[in-house]
Amino acid sequence: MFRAVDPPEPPFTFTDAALAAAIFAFLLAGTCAMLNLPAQPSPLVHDVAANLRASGLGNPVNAVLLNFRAYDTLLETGVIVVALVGSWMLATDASWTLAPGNFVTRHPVEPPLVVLIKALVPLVAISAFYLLFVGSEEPGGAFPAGTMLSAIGILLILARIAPPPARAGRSIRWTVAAGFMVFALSGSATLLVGREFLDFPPSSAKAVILIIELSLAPSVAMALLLLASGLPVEPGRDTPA
Amino acid sequence: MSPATAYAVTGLALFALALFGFLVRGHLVRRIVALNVMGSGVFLVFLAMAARGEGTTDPVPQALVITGIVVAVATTALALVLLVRLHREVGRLALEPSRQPD
Repeated sequence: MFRAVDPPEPPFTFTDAALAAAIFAFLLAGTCAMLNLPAQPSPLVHDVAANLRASGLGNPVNAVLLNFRAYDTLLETGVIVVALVGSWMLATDASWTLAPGNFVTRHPVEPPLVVLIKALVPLVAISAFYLLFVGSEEPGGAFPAGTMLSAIGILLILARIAPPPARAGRSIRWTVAAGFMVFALSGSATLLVGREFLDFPPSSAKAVILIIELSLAPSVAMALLLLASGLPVEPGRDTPA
Repeated sequence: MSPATAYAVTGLALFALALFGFLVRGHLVRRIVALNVMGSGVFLVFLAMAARGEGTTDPVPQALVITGIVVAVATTALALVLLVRLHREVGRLALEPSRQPD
């Protein structure tokens, strides 16, 4: 699609040299700042350790992600949905109902690729579910699990076992939105029991976070798959590679 | 220089290099790559800050970096779709025509 893949860049100008000098000065100043930092880490380490049990999780990073700073993570899931809607807005009316084109090729599918993908998909699926459930105590959670599930989707499309997802599908849109909606509703439910927004009560924090994680994983997977799939191929304008 | 400081300075250097590339280069794919390298530099500084000193690593910057990685992926995907659409509309891979001699 891009014929001029690497057009030559214009020659460097005096402005570019001045810019390089300014950025180098910034680098030197930043290095000095790094060398003069106090050696002790931030006091937040102790706050997280002291409240870890109340978070319902044993993994401090996921306790920060889904409880102490859940607001960040809620907005992050919103960013994924908004980025996806933004990328959909860039499809023309003529191509709107067509499937996205990034993983569609004219070449026939090589049989070894299909064998490899059929062997890989169950392994990746098991790893994804393991990561999803281990996230409460060890590194893992909905985002790595969702990323692996979206990789399964890409593999299946590449092997032409599954068709590329059509954006007009209602079930696909619900899947994308469900994670953010469940997260926001769970956060609002804490208001009903007299707590702050997203301030989960320690007794039920683990159950609420598990529900959020379970609904986030498919949403993250579908949104990443659709983001990676790109724009539809325009009829009569581009030919797939 | 402790390992954490070495990582932090490496992150700063990555950020500075990519900032220069982002501002000077005209090719939009290069700019998107530069934006990602800038982000990686920031993440490296954050993680180095979390690991400085003795004792356990601070989980708060680690969680912020995880959030940042996901946002960076979403931003990159949207930027690339914008780039494809720009190329389809005007046949250019740069914003200013002067930045892309043919």
